[in-house]
Amino acid sequence: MSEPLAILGVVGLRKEFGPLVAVDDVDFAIPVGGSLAIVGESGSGKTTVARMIVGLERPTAGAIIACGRDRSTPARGAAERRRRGGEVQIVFQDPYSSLDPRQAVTAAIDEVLRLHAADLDADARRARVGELGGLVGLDERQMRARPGALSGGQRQRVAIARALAATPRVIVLDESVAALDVSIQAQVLNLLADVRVATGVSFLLISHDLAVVRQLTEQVIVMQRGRIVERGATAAVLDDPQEPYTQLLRASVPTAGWKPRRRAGAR
Amino acid sequence: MTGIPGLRGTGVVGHLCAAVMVIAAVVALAGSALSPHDANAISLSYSFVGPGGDHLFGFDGNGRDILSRLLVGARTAIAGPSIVVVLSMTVGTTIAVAAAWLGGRFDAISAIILDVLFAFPGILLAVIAAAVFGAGLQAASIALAIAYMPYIARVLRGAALRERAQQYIAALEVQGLAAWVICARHLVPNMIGLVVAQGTILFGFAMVDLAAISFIGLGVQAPQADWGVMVAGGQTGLLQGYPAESLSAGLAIIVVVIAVNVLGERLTERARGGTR
Ligand SMILES: Nc1ncnc2c1ncn2[C@@H]1O[C@H](COP(=O)(O)OP(=O)(O)O)[C@@H](O)[C@H]1O
Ligand SMILES: [Mg+2]
Repeated sequence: MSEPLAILGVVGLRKEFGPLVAVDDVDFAIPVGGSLAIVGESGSGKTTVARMIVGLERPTAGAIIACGRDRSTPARGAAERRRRGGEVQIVFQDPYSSLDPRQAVTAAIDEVLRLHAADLDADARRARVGELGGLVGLDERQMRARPGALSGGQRQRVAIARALAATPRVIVLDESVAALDVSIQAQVLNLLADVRVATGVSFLLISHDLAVVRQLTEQVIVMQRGRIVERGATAAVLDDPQEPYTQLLRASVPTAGWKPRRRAGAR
Repeated sequence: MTGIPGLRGTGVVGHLCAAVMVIAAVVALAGSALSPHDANAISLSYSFVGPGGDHLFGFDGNGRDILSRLLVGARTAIAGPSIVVVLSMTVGTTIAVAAAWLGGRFDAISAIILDVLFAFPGILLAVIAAAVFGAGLQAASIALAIAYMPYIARVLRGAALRERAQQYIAALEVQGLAAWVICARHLVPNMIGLVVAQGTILFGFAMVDLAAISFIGLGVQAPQADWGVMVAGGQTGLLQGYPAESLSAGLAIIVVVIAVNVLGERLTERARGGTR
């Protein structure tokens, strides 16, 4: 069996915070077009993995390769920084601090387009901003608003649109819907499933919610105290967990009431 | 509540304070045009003559029209603190943001330098500056700016750190925006409430200090009209029972200082309790 080319891979990833080993020898690869979930109890190192992948935290050891290029050391120069931004994006958990309170939605997205789509003129950018707004289901009035006038779910839609504006190949979703009401969660998850179909973007999904994991990803890794304790196809791992720890996780996690409108990333 | 957007939430008192500051600024800019008489015309026959005609505040010991000197003297009285505020806010904000952003060694080294500067009282630094560069408003203002900068940097560093920790900043980093662009376009504008508030309070302190420096003869030089110079120059009058010059100049200083301090406090409160 030949391995498909990975869009994102990490090898021997490790992060120490002083004496604490937050991430320990983590390996995984997301094939082009595929999506991977990281599950694990709070404090198991999931967010640290995500932050290292997007360059917010520097690995103590190990390699991170996205789109065939190493990103385990800080970007050198503006061009490389911008290129990395165009490869992997992230949507954070907290919808209330992830947008600049002074910036209207259109301005926030336009700023990203100026950086990543420098060839577009003002009219083309305006059209693209509208397109992205439509894609994430924001209306004209919401697009003109500042974050303070938007609900948590609307803000996460903005954060998703802003991430998409960079046309990334991978979006890291770190508990991106966990702070939202269950019914809003379902809407945003449906949106993410649609986005994946529409753009072919890969997700690295971090979630407590195994129902969400099942619907959005094909592969899953289970982390405990910084290490991967189980891995495999999402359905197999969740249906028939081998590790006692994963069994416990499955038993302890309530399933959300989310029903997908259509199958994500059909292939 | 209605009001001027920049002053929202500062109440009627805040608006009154702002009005005082606007009047002071207008007088500072147009004082010589507004003054009814030549502020420097000496006529000893009018020495300490009281109010009369269009000489509303009477004459000082040299027979100069006090009201005219007040109006003309507003320029240096306002310009000095303005220089202090602009200089120390610019440098202080830059250091605060750089320390919060870079952290680590830069933060530690800048903290030590600020601690050393803290040890110098503004007036002392101004005296040294006068000794080295000669007395005058410029040297005194720059010395005060240096002395106040550590306070500003320290207060704003905390605010910069809080803002730095917001996830929208991380999102912009992940987008690939340069650090200085993120700071200039996002981080600093989100601290601007506190920056303005601190600058306003600083203005009051600087005004009092500069008046004191002029009073001891190291700031604005007599016979130029200036509120601090007038407080000092009126001393002989005070002793002889003619307090008009010192009192009126002192009152002008006090009114402006109270206005900027009260407004500054209210703006600070608003910035601290701000939405988020
Ligand atoms: N900047 C940091 N400094 C020190 N310790 C940290 C830092 N970030 C995370 N940690 C620690 O690393 C461990 C993993 O945290 P995290 O990656 O946030 O876990 P998760 O996202 O799975 O809940 C935790 O023990 C956490 O306290
Ligand atoms: Mg986390």
